[in-house]
Amino acid sequence: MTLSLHLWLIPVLCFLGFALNILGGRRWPRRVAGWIGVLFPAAAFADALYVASRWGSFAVPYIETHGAWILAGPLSVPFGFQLDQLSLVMLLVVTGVGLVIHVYSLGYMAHEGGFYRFFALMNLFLFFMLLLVLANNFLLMFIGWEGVGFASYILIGFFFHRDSAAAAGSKAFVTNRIGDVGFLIGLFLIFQHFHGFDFTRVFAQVRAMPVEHAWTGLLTVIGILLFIGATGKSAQLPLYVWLPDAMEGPTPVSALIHAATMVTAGVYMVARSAAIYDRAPLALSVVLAVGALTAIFAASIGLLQRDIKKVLAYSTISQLGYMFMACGAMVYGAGIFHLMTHAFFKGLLFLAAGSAIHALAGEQDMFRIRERVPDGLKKYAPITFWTFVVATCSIAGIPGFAGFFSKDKILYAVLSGPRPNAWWWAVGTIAAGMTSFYMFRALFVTFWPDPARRGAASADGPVRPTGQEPAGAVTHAIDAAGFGAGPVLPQPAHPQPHEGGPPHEAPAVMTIPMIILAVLAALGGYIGINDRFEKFLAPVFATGVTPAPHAAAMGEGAVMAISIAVALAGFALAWYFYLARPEAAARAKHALPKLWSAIYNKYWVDEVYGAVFTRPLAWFSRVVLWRIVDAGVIDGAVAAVGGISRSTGGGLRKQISGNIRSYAGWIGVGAVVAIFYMLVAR
Amino acid sequence: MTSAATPLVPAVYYLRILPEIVLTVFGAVIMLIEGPARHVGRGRTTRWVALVGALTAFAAVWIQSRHPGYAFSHLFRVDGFTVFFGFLLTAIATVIILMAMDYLPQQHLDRGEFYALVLFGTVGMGFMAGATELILMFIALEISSISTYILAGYRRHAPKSTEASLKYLLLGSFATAFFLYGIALIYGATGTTQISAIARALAHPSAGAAVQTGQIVLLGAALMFIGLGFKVSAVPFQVWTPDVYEGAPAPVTAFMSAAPKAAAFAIFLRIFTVALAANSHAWFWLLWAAALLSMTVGNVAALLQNNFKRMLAYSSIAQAGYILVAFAALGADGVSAVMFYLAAYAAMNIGAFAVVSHFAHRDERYVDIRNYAGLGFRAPWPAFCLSVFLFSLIGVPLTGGFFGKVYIFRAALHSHLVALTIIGLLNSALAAYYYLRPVVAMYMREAPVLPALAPGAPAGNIEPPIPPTAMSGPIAVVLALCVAVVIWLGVFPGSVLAYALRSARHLLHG
Amino acid sequence: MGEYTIGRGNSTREIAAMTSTPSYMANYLPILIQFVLALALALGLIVASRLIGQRRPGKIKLSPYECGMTPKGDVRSGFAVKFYLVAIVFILFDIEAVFLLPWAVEFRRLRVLGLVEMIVYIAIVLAGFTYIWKRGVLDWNTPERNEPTLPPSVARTGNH
Repeated sequence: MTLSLHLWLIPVLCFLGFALNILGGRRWPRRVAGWIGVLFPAAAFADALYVASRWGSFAVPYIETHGAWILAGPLSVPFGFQLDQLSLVMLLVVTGVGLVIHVYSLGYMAHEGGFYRFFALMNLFLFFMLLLVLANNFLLMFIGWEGVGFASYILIGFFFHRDSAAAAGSKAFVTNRIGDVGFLIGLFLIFQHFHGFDFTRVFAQVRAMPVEHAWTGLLTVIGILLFIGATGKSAQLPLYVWLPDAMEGPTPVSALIHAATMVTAGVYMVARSAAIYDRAPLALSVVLAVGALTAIFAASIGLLQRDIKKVLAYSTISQLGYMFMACGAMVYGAGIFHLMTHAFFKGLLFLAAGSAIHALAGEQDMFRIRERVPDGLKKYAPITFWTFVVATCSIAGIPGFAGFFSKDKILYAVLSGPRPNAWWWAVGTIAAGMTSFYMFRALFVTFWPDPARRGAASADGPVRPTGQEPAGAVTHAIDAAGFGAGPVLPQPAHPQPHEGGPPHEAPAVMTIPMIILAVLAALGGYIGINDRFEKFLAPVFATGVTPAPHAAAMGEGAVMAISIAVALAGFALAWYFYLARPEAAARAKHALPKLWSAIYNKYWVDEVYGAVFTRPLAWFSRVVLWRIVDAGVIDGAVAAVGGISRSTGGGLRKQISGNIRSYAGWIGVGAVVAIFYMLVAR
Repeated sequence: MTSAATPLVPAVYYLRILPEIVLTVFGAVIMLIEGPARHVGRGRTTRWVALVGALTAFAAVWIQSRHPGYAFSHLFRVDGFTVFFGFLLTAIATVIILMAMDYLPQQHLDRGEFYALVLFGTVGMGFMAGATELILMFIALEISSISTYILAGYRRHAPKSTEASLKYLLLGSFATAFFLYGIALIYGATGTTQISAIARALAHPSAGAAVQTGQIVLLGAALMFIGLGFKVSAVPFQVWTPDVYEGAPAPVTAFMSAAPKAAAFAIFLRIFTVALAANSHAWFWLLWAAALLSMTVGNVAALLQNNFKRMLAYSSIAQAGYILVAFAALGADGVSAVMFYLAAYAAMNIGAFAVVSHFAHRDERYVDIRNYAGLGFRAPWPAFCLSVFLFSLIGVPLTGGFFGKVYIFRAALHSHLVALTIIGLLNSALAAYYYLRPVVAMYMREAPVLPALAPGAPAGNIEPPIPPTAMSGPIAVVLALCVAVVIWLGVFPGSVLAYALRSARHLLHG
Repeated sequence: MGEYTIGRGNSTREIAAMTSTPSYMANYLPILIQFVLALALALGLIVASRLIGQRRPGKIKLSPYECGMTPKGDVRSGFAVKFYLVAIVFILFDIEAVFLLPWAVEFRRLRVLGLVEMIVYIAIVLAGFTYIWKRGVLDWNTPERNEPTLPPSVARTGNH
């Protein structure tokens, strides 16, 4: 091949940004660290654009390998990168949205400690993410996969010296690793049967295989195992629990990692493995069902959340469910399309929410935001408001906005695509209505004046001094406790200059990225008109399986009309409950107390997991392994430290010998079992 | 049997055990220097002697590797397997000596015997790696064990340390007795103690072999399994591990967790995959159960430990479990996965202990995880290194621990150990929780502000933060080396893995 | 080439042939008989004394040491640690000296090689000997050198 794109350069640029900042950032002024942190992703984006501009001048898929990376016996893995339509889309989304969010972070993180470290880690994240999307083999992809999880872990936890952030980071890490169990086993199976990790090599062999119709088929098993990995990374049922907690991270992290890019890795991986899934209809059904159930489940939790970032988190989970529905319906192109538009509008939602939070000194509860600004935040932060409106319309599926195109494609495909299923379509449509409702609810509550005291607000002036009313006092106390106030250490991150004064619009360095994303969130859908986007991606998903044609259950126009109706219904309901008749919301709450409580408490899933998994483990660790197996030890050690046994040599002797006897007893029991097994029971 | 033309003991035999000779000579020299020493602190000369000795031995392994073959009546064999472990063990000894250079003066224990014992112990382990005969294996095991028994009690003014030593000695002797009895039974059944001869005898039993001898072999296998299971701290023979690891001086714990374990795995592999290969269907399930229990018990018990050394002790039990998974996978894939993991494990575990040892301070005061609060900001480099080691222990990509686990579970799945693979991977997911705790403490906690206390007064319930500590040269070298190896194995695992694979084939196919 | 097998000198085939005969385990029968006899004797004596002997415990009979005086203090008084050390050292060197014996038997066949090996061996033993000598293990009267003084309780726990 004469032309070399030097794809390796793109991730390496981001890695350089990381390395420079981590090594020298501490000594440099903020401005330098910030510039380095933004310029390297910018260079990566420029390189990605260059690569895109050369499209057509190289054969697709374009593969470049850089020597043998691992070469040991049967295991031979090159350092290889691959560029095809799918990775090009991912590449542009990751570097583009990544760059925009990096710029935004310059403003958002301006007052935080560890500025340089933040940018270093964001760059590290981009490095791993690019490794993930550009890899030409499963192993390198897995390295990126684990790497983004690692970067996400430190970013969730590193800037917030609070217990909840540390716990959230650990939870994310451990949950993801549970999913990775499935992924890894899937990889091992792939290696075992296809003798390699290379996409080309594996998929070439897969293409020669027939479609499977049994649970035990190789491809079905691999497909399901890989999907288990995806449920971890992309926060699907039942492993979604880490994502809402991950909102403890700084908002740009939530925007980049937990909305636009990392969490979509699972969708990318499933789409990449289309050849496998197409031949495993049962695995596809699992993907479809899990996606649809997650979509409606998370959307229903989102209905009643108070924390604006939590609403967005559940919304992300729900939208990822849509992407998996598309994959499960064998219309991967629509899934990737939604992935892209979602990166725009969800990234924007987080940035705008971050801007609102920033304006109110770290307040995340949208009802408290409204209390703090009774005459409506939209008056004080118009750009934030308008971009939020655009993003909300986009995600809610208001016609003309990007989200409408992609979501509608998915719903239509589920109903009458290659694997039509009216039930899942209905579920998806209801979830779309819920989406519309909770997003407009968030919009109205956060930005509109409180309808309950419309009269009082104007009399009282823009912002009530927080000390004068109970709710404000509570807010204040919680802020002081470090709950909502963002990074508390090493110094209060938002030193409350806004308290008492009117909330303010964010600086240009934050609003311009929001405007860019708003344009994309509004207009990004037109790229998919006439299925152009999907046709572009089609070569990647041409896996040699052609589903039997069948008559469409409903025309596209009818489906679209239903979608629009549902979206508008959601909008109308939100308007009714939160702007027009706020007392109706309270009445609804009292009418269905059980349902309300179940949803408000997120169906107690965390509690159930705690009772079923975490607590028994802790109990086993503490009671069985400490108290029984380890019994003497602790007491012995404690006593030794306390000097009790030191004063009486005999006491220690007795204890030690007691321990030794019980230890020898354990070894003896083990020995007896081993011997018994070998001689008798075998 | 000896013809006049060939010498009784060809000179090449001595080259084949050159590393052990070198280590013995240097150890003896240290003893001779140390004997007349009158003051604590004479370690200053001896430690350099020891360091030179360990490095020379490392070089000697290279010379040894140029002369493959048997030595001394088939007692000892130099092959890829021996050489792999030779490099590993001498490298570990070198690193431990460097670590002790920092630790011993800090604890006012700076005496030459420590270094001599490390060298002598390494002699025993070197022989374990290359022994092809059961009696030599036993003697080598004892040489290495006796050194570690003494080293475990080296902080002899600390009750915990003497307690550790005593426990280790008594239980170790108990377990060794099993091993010895196993040897006796195998000898009784096959009439030989040579690995290859045993393999031949068991592979071709004469027609109508008596049931009893079969039973004797199985009993012998079970007994040897118990003895070796103890040495590698596999459940249910692991009970000594937490106490001994906690009580022993930190560099000794590092040493014990890496070197004797590796050497014990070497004879474990030689005996079971070569000598007793014909009976693998019988002992396989013992291995399977031990692997499963070790992983699970180690990880679950580690979840709530606050003492760093104790946590790492349980972690080492779990890690032994992973290694046993690879062992149970058998074949060249499994054996090479064991070897690769041992190398990666040595680097990351010793590195972690090096940090613990460095921050332990006088009388190992600061070994609680809560002591590490805020350390990431006060001591960025050691904290960073510790994080690398912990992430490697978790198995995060771009660290040696990741590829170690990948090879282990790939080999296991290849051998259709599906249940073991799933449980192992779930375990490694669970393990992330406790390995993250020190990271959380270092980077996400502030050091508690202590009320002014008289020095030495108990601090109540608050764990005091580690006071600022200057990095000494040797510990910096240790950390740099370990991080380099961990990352190298994580980024370019190919060469080591290929070497391990070749060595494994040597072992299995002669 | 100059190898000799470790073991009884039987080839493995012989062993296999031997072990395959049903009478193989019968070789061990005398040992079993002896074992059983020893056990029976020991148990028999205890049981017999229980059955035959008369028991009339009295206050004086139950007191320790039927004759003489009642002991004062702990009977198991401590020994000086040195005693054990010297005993261990004695055993060590004793056993090491035993290795000279086979060398003497095969002296002629081993020739110079044997001599050199033995010199090396003795040198190693002597190095150890020098060490303990210089350490003062053999000085019965002087306190051990280089030891910081410790509280007696710690010293005791450190040495059992």
